[in-house]
Amino acid sequence: MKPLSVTKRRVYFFFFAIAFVLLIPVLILYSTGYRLDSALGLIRTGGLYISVPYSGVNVYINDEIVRQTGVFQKNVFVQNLKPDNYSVRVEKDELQVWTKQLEVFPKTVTEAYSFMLPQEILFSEIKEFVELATTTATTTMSQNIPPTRPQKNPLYVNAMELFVPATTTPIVTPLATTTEDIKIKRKLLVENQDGTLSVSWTGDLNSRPHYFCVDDNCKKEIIINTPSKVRTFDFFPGRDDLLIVALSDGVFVIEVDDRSSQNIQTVMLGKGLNFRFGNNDILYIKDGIRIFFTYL
Amino acid sequence: MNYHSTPYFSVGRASDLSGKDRFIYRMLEILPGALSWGTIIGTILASIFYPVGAAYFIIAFDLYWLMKNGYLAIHLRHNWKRIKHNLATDWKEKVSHLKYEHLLHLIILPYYKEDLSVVEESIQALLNTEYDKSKMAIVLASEEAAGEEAFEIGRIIHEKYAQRFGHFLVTKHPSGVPGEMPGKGSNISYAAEQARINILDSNNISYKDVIVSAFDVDTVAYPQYFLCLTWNFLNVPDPHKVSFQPVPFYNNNVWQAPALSRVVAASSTFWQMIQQERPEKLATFSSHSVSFKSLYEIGYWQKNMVSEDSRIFWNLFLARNGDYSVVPISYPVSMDANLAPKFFQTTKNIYKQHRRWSWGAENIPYILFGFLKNKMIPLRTKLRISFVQVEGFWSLATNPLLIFLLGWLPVVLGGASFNATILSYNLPFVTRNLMIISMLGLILTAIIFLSFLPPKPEKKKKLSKFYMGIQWILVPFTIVVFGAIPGLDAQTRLMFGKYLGFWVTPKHRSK
Repeated sequence: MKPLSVTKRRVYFFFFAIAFVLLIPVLILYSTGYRLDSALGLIRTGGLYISVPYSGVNVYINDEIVRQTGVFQKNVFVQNLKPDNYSVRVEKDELQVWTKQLEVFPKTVTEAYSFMLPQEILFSEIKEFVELATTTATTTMSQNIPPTRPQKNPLYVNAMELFVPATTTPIVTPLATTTEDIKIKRKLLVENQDGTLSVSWTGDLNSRPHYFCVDDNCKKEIIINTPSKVRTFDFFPGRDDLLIVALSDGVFVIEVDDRSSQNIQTVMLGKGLNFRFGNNDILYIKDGIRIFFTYL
Repeated sequence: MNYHSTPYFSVGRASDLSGKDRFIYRMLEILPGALSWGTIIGTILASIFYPVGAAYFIIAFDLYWLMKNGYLAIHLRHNWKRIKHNLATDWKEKVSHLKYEHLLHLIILPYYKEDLSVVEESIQALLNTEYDKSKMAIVLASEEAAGEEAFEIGRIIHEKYAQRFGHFLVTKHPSGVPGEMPGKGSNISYAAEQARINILDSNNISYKDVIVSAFDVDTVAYPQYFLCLTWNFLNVPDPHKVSFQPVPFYNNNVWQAPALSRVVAASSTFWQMIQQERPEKLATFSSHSVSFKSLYEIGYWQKNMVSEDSRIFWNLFLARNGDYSVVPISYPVSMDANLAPKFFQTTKNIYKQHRRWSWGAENIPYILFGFLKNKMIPLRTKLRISFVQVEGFWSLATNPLLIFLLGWLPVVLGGASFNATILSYNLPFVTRNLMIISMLGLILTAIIFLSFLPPKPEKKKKLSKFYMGIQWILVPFTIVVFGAIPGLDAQTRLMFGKYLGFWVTPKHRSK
């Protein structure tokens, strides 16, 4: 039996070489978003990337479900989209709905990071007073002494101290700077100017967050549109694109991304509410003299 | 003046030369490593500064890899059929039509500190071959550096088996000979010269009638190997202008070796099988055969370098002004897969063995320098061979890294603006899918591997054969860790003049 003949080898070689030459432009065009339209013409498409915080969430584009997120694949990437405006909706039972109008550009992926707070956030109240005999965690007296009168709850006292206006100079850490009116997190500067929040990027322009730019047009500052003046604000734990704000009628979480109307989700409704974060990102909300807390 | 009479002919490294020649040779030593590192560093830099271009390159490269795999798989499949055909052929009958009684097979088995059982198994296999043993001369080539115990093994074997072959010689290569590097090359060259004096000359045997098989000591010849070799020797136009290359199987201890070792060893087999169908790209490797006349004319194997098995081909190629080639006989010989008492040691040995094989890059400066000096070789031949050799070593050291590790670089290093492109999102998917299609070829390799397996020992579990099939999923790991990295290691050493010495692969047989 003879080795492969030179002729056969040449045929094979040219077959694969031609396949390579034919496939390479196809692959590159495909990878860069070119697709065939119904008239077999080339059109440039783009994509949407939606980051979703939970599994089991339905993601809709123009009211059509495109995917339900899974345990391992929570983010959704949809391509082959013609350049246009798309309505994105992210929803799951018992969670607040997130929607966004996003524009898709050719050869580009428009990113968005959704957030979904529970429709009803469970708060626990910290009582101002506790019965000494029944709250061992707060007692400083021996348990075999019967209670005689309610005692001020130290947890309440500690939580209340969070709401005392700061009188010292701002605490500066590499990640965050904090005063009542200015907060910085990962080079994002948020300023409260007479109840209106503005967000600007203080870092290298090449690494600014995606929502500062629409296609190649980037803005220096994003104004947070709230229905009433912002009394207090802070960054939402674990996210630098979300702010938690105290407005006249409650506490809310609002996104910085203003490519379409900013999503605002309710944390707690009520007049004159204020909030602070304690250790381990515990959210304390003050309603008059009452204090509530929850884990976000 | 013949090229083999020039001072360049036996150059081992740049320092063997002087003046401008030394500079040129040194530059050529740097070339393989510079190309490989240039590719890797270039890909990293492009990923940072021009990620779109890097992404295009990676997609094109992945497609090239897929096409190349398809092309090579056809060669592999054909050679598989050819080996099966050759194993089924009655070579005795074929040779019986030829006049071959005048031929002598001189088999050189160099050894260092291998166990008696390893040496004896190879001798036993030679006895089991269907060839007239009176026409076989065995040279057991020991090393003085290995000590008296090693030589004693030769004596024991001689005592037991010498009478059963036409000629039997045990040699002891002296250590510390000036200008020599301890290793297989210097040992078998010494053994060949001793055989010439003590066997050929003393029995008036013509050099042109002697076929030398330079085997590793663990080489087990299949029963009709020498008949097949003889037939090929007598059927080529000029047997003194060719070397004969069998296919190295690593079946001796395949049922004892771990999966990692089996996959790496069989990958080498498959590469040799592919090359057997592309003889113009083939150089001798490991156990090979060549006429004594050719060897004698150029002074045997080079004694001052590591890769004597492939260098002997390039020596002869340059000496014959390019009129020299390899005949792929597509008939197997079997050797040991790497196996040490402990798994970690086995892994270490595999790495070291493959670094030594990759050190074959030392042939690149030798070939290119020879092409500059030897004006008798046609330019077209020089260009073709230069490309094949340089591309071969470049591919070995870079392709697996580009395919399995560097494909994500533009996404990682490309920055925010690149990461917002659809190209950035598609790159991982496209490369992954191309890779998956490429990996389908592993099914063919698994089938071929299983078809050549020796019978399963009774004490092995029922599932052992199944593991032999699924072991091929290790390939993406093995070609990086035991292909690209030792390849890059060897080329980097050559680039910086940190020359490798000969490392003897330990042979171990589990009881």
